[in-house]
Amino acid sequence: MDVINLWMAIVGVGAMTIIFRDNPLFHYIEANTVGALAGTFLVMGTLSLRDIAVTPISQGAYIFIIPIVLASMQFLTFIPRFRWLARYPVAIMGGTGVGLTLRALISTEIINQIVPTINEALLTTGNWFTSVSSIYFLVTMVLTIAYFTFGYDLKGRWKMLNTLARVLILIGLGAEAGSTFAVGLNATSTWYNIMSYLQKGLGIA
Amino acid sequence: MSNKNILDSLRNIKPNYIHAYSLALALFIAVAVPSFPTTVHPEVQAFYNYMEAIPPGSVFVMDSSSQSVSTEMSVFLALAKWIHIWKLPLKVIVVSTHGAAGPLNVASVMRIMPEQYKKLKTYGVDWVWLGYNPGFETNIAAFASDIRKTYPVDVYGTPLDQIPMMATGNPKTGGPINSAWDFYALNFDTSNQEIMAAYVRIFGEIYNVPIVREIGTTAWASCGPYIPRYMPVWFFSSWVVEYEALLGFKGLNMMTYSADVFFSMSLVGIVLIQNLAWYLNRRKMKLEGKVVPKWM
Repeated sequence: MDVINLWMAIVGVGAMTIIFRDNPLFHYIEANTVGALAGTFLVMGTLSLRDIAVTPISQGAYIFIIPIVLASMQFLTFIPRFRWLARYPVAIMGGTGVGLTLRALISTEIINQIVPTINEALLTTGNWFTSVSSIYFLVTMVLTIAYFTFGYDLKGRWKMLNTLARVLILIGLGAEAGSTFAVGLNATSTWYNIMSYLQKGLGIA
Repeated sequence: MSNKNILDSLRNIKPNYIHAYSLALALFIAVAVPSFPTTVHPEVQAFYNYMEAIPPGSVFVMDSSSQSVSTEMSVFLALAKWIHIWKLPLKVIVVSTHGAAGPLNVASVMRIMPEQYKKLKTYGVDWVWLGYNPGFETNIAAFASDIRKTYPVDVYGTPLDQIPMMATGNPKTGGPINSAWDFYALNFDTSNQEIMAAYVRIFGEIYNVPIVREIGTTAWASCGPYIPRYMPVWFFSSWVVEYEALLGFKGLNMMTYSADVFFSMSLVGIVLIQNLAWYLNRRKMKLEGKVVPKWM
């Protein structure tokens, strides 16, 4: 008998019992999970701090004192008199992040988004399904961009374009929602997980 | 029972019954281990072929960084992928860059991975587990430029230079594995947009490390534009069932929503019938001259 796997099975069953009705076992499992995750976060964060900062400092790399001081400054937000000091680490992290992002921002976020989009829209090789998909993609893309870029009410016959754009956007969102919902239906997998743990826990796997 | 009663019963079906049904199905799968027919999409086949074609000894990076709430589910989402990688002669570096629950994911995978696959790789020789570091893009950038600065020790506290794979496992030089220049490809299982964009910007654009991954429907909107350029192969994670079929698994078919899975289709059938029942109910109320509530 494997106690850990058996415990995992009990946790799984306990978590799923909420489907049937609220009960003490679910609350016990809930509290356990939250506590375990909080503990994991604390341990992982502490280990990370030990490995990449405290250990190097103990070996003479005193420059790592700076990030520790900066990180500690974030806690000053709890002291009203020194709250302003907490802005510095946030500003430094924000600046570093923006600097890193800018290195490849133009190519990844602009050029390499436009090029594949155009390629996709102009894809005519392949079978009839690919061609129809490309036309659909092109029409949806142009109308959606136009709908959001020229966001005023069109009059007369042009109003039809706005309506069509809304319909196409809703079709896209509907497909996304439907797909997400369908994945959410996947309860078999969860029960199968529980069964796997139970089998291993009881040594019958 | 009249048709009306049947439709009303279906419309008011309780979720309990659906979950009881799924439990019964899970029990059936666990006991009987049947094999359902599966049709493999070309994208899934391409992903499988790409993985198979990676030169032996290449360094493959796995970022296991799912959020805590989805840990349990994502483990099973990813299990087929992990098993395949474990079967291939690759050197695997496992890290977590988002959510401290990432290491829990890795631990869970190792717990549920069948022994015959687990023993195919030896820790320190074929794979290493470097643990979790926070910092998002800054962490990923530092990891790409110098692994040892970000992860000086593995998750067990062993310095990287004392781990054979990290000290002499570089397939290009026979020396240490130092940076993203030594990686062949990357896979990550988080749908966090910041991490995804950071990997695309840093690994994809700067280091030319291709990103191969299965992709969730919610991540599609953010990943979609990058796919042709940075992801040579990909497939929807709801097609993992097909990946399992390619790996020769019999009877799992547990993942996820697929036209080939009887359970998924039966649930879709229930949804359709419920919608039909709702429509009929609404129509009946109108015909009888009753006031139809706005929410209907």
